[in-house]
Amino acid sequence: MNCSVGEGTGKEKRQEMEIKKEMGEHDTGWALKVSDLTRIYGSSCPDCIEKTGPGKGTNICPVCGSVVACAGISFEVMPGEILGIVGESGSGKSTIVRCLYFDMEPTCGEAYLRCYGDENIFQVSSQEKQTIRNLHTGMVYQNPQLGLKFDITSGGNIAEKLLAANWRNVGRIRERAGELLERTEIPLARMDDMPRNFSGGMQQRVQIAKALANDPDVLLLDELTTGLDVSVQARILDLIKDIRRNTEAAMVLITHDLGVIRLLAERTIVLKNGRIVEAGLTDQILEDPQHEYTQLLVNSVL
Amino acid sequence: MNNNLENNRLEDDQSMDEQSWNDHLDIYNLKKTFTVHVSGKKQIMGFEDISFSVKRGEFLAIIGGSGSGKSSLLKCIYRTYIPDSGSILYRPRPEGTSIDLTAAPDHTILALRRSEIGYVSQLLYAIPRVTALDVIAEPLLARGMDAGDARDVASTYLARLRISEDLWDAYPSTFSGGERQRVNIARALIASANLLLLDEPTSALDPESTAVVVKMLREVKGKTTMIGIFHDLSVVREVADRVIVMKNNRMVGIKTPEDIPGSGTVD
Repeated sequence: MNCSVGEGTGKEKRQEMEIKKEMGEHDTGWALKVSDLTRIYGSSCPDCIEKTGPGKGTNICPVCGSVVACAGISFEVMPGEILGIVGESGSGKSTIVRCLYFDMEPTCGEAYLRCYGDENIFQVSSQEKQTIRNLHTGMVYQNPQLGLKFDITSGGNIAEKLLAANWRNVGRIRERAGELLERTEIPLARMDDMPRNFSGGMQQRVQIAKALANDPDVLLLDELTTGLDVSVQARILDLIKDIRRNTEAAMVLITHDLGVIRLLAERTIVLKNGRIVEAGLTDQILEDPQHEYTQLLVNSVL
Repeated sequence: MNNNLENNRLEDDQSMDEQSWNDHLDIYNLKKTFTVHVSGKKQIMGFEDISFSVKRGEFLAIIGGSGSGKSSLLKCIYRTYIPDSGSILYRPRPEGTSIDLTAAPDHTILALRRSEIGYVSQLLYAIPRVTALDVIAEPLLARGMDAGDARDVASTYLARLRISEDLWDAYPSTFSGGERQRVNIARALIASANLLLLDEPTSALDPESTAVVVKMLREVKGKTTMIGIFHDLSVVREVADRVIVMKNNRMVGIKTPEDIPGSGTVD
């Protein structure tokens, strides 16, 4: 980050500016802001919210049987920051990123992208949503089949995202696809191979390459290492660290693995039965967990 | 000039004395307990009734037996722990406004950790798959220094701390306790924080390495404010300006280094 420094001693001035910046602007400096995101499956009734949640130990409404996947979710992510979201299966983690990538519609709530302006992105037209997806966001799914077309080449998968982001020159698209594959350590020789012939780790790296193609302002990562060998996991996590160092993308990292959180996220949100039960600095969440569920989670690490 | 007026007015309003304007850190009535939900909400005492101030550039040592709450106190200052009550006022600039570290937003704490407050933990969590050189160079890279230059500076620290050159490109997760501890110290010192929290920085070191670390701490003394936990009283005598003694989760006294025995350990 480059702060222009006026008169005065360089280091002190710069530090002071940085602190002021982060203190004063943490409510305005975000790249992504989500407020009160709620997603309910089913008919839903007025009691849904009140009768579900960690206090009730369920996310199924006892009155109407609707599933409250998540409710009242609010957070902000700064440019270049990784926010971790942890919780057990079914706690609503994936629902949050799926809503943000417009794979599903929230029941209510708001989300804003700094680069897009003052409009709640959940309320814009479907055409505009497509534009936001093409130009500003990237997504990596746990299951590469959701993020990639398995029967077109890895280069073609990336080209698809670039075309959507209005790239038109075939030569430059191929060049960019090559750069991205190189960055994610896919041998260039495999550019014209189909992901169906790749290992799980390689498929995941092609997905990351594709997600990075439009140089996204917000990168959504949904359980991106789950189910992979530890050595393969390690390379992917190192790749994410590299992306953090070299881009300003705000990242939301969904995982149930506290090791992944410890390695990558500066701040963490803990989810239980679709609600945020605790949010804080990652080291605080891990070393001084406040909520009963977080304590259970931290103590369950092997 | 406007600034001065502003300060004077504030000073009058809040009737803060000269003393606290110059303090780097003021801790008031800090208390920390741990609630263990799995054991039927059992309460474990960390510490209570802690109040003290640290002047800019001062070296404050904390001594006391194991379990007396020393590490918990440092972790509260770094916000790894959340205290139950009390306040921790951190003043980044002399005569500037202070920030309550117990209440500041997470992003403020992260910003302070990047530029102001360093922490040397008792047990180093070794970041996997990052070489010793890169672990140490990282704070410089984060400030935009060129990678080659940052590694050069990092290597001077490793050399001074007597880490064998064979290990510079190895992963600290494979190091001995003492080697890791020195990597940790180098990383904290290279960041030239304004406040450095040291949790037994010499506990795993042999006498020669301890002497090097003591020398390095003395070099930054005066420029960097330090709060350090030590078991080795001879180290305390060499580095500290004042000493807080803790016992049974409370402060039982503030002493000068001359008041404590020259050698031996507390426990």
